[in-house]
Order: sequence, then structure tokens, then C-alpha cells
Amino acid sequence: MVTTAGIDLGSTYVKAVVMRDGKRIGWGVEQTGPDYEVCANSVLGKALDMAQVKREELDFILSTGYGRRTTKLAADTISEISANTEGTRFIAKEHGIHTIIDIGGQDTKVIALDDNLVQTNFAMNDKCAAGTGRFLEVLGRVLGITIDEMGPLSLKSTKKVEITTTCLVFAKSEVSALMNKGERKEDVIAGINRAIAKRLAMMAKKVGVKEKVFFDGGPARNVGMIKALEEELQVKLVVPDQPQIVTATGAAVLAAKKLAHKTAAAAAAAPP
Amino acid sequence: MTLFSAGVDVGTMMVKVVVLADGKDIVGIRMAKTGPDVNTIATGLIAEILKERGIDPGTQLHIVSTGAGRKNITNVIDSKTEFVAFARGARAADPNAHMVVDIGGQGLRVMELDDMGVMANFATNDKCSSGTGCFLDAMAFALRLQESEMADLGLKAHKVANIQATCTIFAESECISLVAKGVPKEEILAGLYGMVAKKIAGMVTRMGLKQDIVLAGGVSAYPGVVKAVENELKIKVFVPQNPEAVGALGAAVIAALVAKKRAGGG
Repeated sequence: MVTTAGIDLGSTYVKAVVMRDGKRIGWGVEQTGPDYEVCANSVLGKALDMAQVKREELDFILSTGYGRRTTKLAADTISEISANTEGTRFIAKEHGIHTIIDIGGQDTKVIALDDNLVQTNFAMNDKCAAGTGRFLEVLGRVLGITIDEMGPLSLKSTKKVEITTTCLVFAKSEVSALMNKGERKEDVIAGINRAIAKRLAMMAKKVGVKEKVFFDGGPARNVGMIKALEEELQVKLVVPDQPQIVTATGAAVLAAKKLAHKTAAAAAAAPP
Repeated sequence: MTLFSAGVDVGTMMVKVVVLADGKDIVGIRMAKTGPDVNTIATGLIAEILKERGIDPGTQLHIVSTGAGRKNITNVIDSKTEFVAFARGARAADPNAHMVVDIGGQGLRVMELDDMGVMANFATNDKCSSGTGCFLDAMAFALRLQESEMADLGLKAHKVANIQATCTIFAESECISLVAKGVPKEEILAGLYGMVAKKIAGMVTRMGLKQDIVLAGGVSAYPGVVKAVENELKIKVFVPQNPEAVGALGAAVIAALVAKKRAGGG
């Protein structure tokens, strides 16, 4: 019996997944606080509770994400790109995925895969908040709605409202001005979703969009965002049930692989 | 008879007004925060200047508007882009100027002037707020500093904090975590001056550095930013007395020229 965990320390959320013998048996998601170590401990505790596994039963913990080097819990670290690719392979192997779009809190990634789901190319934006989860979060705050309300509300939109600015700082003023002008919230949110989709599509086209396209990360919980991205890319997206924990899942899978590798190496080195 | 002209620069943060006599002598400079009705704000500022100098409020005044909200000003004889206005204003402030850098509330602009003072080339950074006035405003909020402290507190720093983010939104978070780590605010501020300076130096160098640079716009009134720009470009820059009013000054100069031309032609 092999039990592993993957912890994804993101800029906005911390995620953990517990796996046993190739099955995902527990997970947890928490908002990132000031101390990554505290968050990592707490979110791993949640995942272990759900899995009904004791901490000492874990054979290997692998951390990933922006804050992956800040926790002593993990025996090793792995990049988000590798973890996300592995997670996609685990969750959607049979779908023939060739492109992954992952929107994180402070960065956005597009990963191109070959027929064997091996990464061939990627693009990443972590310099500018436009087109990241932060864009949704901050503008949601301006509108006084939560991320979870955004999707359903945006589907009620009947009028096309454009966000013309790129910078999030300017977009904040623009959204306030649109509301003062009397535009409806649902139309403005749909406009925000489209603005992000446009930026993402630009990035995705640079890498090359090949079907099927997998979409994960927190904003993939927003149905309006899915719709806008599908319209912009003119493709149907494959969205997992738990889009937030794909990268943590990948880390847990890779933890098992690393462990198997280490065990094999140790066995080979051991005297007969 | 004296010819009075006024330049009105409607910026995203401030409305600036300059009144000139005969297109060269400054009668008055006034500014106020931008509000919903910029026309009333501008008219009020002009009236204040005239009253202060004891000029009849009914005196004929030729007005040219500029800035992001220039179209909202009525009773103008013309309106000009910020580029044209700042180029003209910089030459009025420094007759040798060959380059103007405007660090405004929401935009960075670099303009190159030929020997006649005509704008030969320009670059702008209007998609991104990094390095602009609202960038520094956001950092002031994150650092809990007053605007007056933002101007030169960073000059006291013995060390310069390394700020990795470029984006205003991300830099805000980074400043907060630097404060939490115990990095002194003046060191963070020195790092922020450096960021603004690097951004400007990049734009200037791409265009080709020219001697006699005028620094204009509200942020140019911050000694810390000016020093950082000089360090980055390795030359001295000229900052006029009211750097934020350079655009309005240019508009007022243009207004006088247009008025003279029309009077001569008619």
C-alpha cells in the first residue's frame, strides 16, 4: 500500500490531495494566509481527515506551486507545469488532451502536449495581473460579489458590455464607471469574463491550440469564464469536477512515482 | 493690449490651469482634483487666477484644452493631445529641451523634440499602470505612507529593497509582505523609485537618449524619483518649478499662438 500527498501552495489558495494506490481519496482547499507553513499543515490535515488517513501513514509528500519551497512538510518539490501536466494525465487521460489552460491566482499557463500527454511547449504570464484569477477577484470585489456568484450571474447577461482597458488598476475604475453609468452587474461580469478570455486566447494561440483543450485552476469554477473562453477559442473545453486541485493531484501522483523510483534505486544499491 | 490665454490640462487625477499674458508671461497656475464636472472646475480655477491678479473676469481669454478629459472643456478655441501640449510646454520651460518625459497619473509619455521644438517622436505606456502616479498611490496605500512621505523618504535609505514584481497589483502584495518581513519602508520606497526610473529609462533608451531632458508630470515633483531617473540615465535632468503644469503651460502657449494667427488673418 502506497500513500502519498501533493500540496500545491498557490498565491491565493493552498490545495492538498491524498492518494492511495493510484486513487484520490482526500483533498482540501484553503485560502492562502500570511504563513505558508501554517497553511500547508492545515490544508493537509483537511485532506487527511477526508481520506481518513493518519499523517504518519503518508509515505511521501511532494510540494508544488509558487510557495513550494516554503514548507518543511514535503520531502521534495516539483514545478507547477510538471504537476499540472501529470494531474491532467491522471484526470483526463482518455480525453485526448493536447492543450492545458490553467488560470491561477497570479499567473496563467498554457501547456501544449503531444499524443502521449508529454509537454512540448508552454507559455506563462506572471508579470501582469490582467488575465489572471486576481483580475476576477479584484473586479468581483468592486462589484460586491463573490467568485462563486460570478458564473451564474454572468449567464443572465443580455447586453454586450466591453472592458476596454488592459491593466487591472484601470479596469477597476472602468468597472466603477460602468456601474455608475447604470450598466447591469450581469452584463459587466460577462464583459470581465470576455476580457480575460481574450488575453488568454492571445497567449494560447502563441503556443498553438490543439483539441482537446483542458481548462483548470480556480476560475474554471466560473461557468461564465468557461463559456467566454469557449467562444473566444472556438473549441469545447474539458473541465474537471474539481478544477482547483488538478496541480495538487499531479504532485500526489508524482510523489508515488518518485517513491517507487527511490525504492527501486535503494533495492538495486542494497547488498544481496 | 495684452493678450490673455489659458491652457487647461484635464488629467485623470488633477485638472491643471495656466494663464499667460502675451503667450509668455505666467499670470497664474492653479490646480484641483479631477471631479465629475471638469468644466466647472476649470472655469473656477481660471476665475481664481484672474481675481488674484486683479484682472477683469470679463476679459477675453483664449483657451486650449489638453489631457485625457480635454473634450469635456467647452469654450475652447482648440484642443490638443498631451504629447503636443507637453512638447510645447517643455520648450517654454527650457528653451534647450530635446526630450520630455511626462510621468502622469495614469500614463508615461516620452516625447522627442527637434531643434524647432516640434515633436519628432513619441512613446507611451497607456496599457499598463506600472510606474505611473497611480502605481505610487497604490504603494503609498500599501505602505501606509502620506503623499508627502512618498516624495523623498526613500532618499534616506541605506539599502535599496529588491522588488521583483512589475505589475502594480502584484507589487502591492510584494510591498505588504516586505513590510511584514521587517524591511524598512524607506528601503522599499527606494526600490519603488528604481522601478519607476527603470521603466522610464527603458522607454527613453528605446527612443534614443537626447541631452536636455525635461521631467514633467505630478510624479516628477518627487525628488526621490528624479534622482533615481538621473542615476538610471546617468545624466542630469531638468525639472521645472511646477512639473505637473507643463501640459497646461504648453496648451496656453498654443492658445496664444492660435489667437494671434486668427487675429492676424482676420
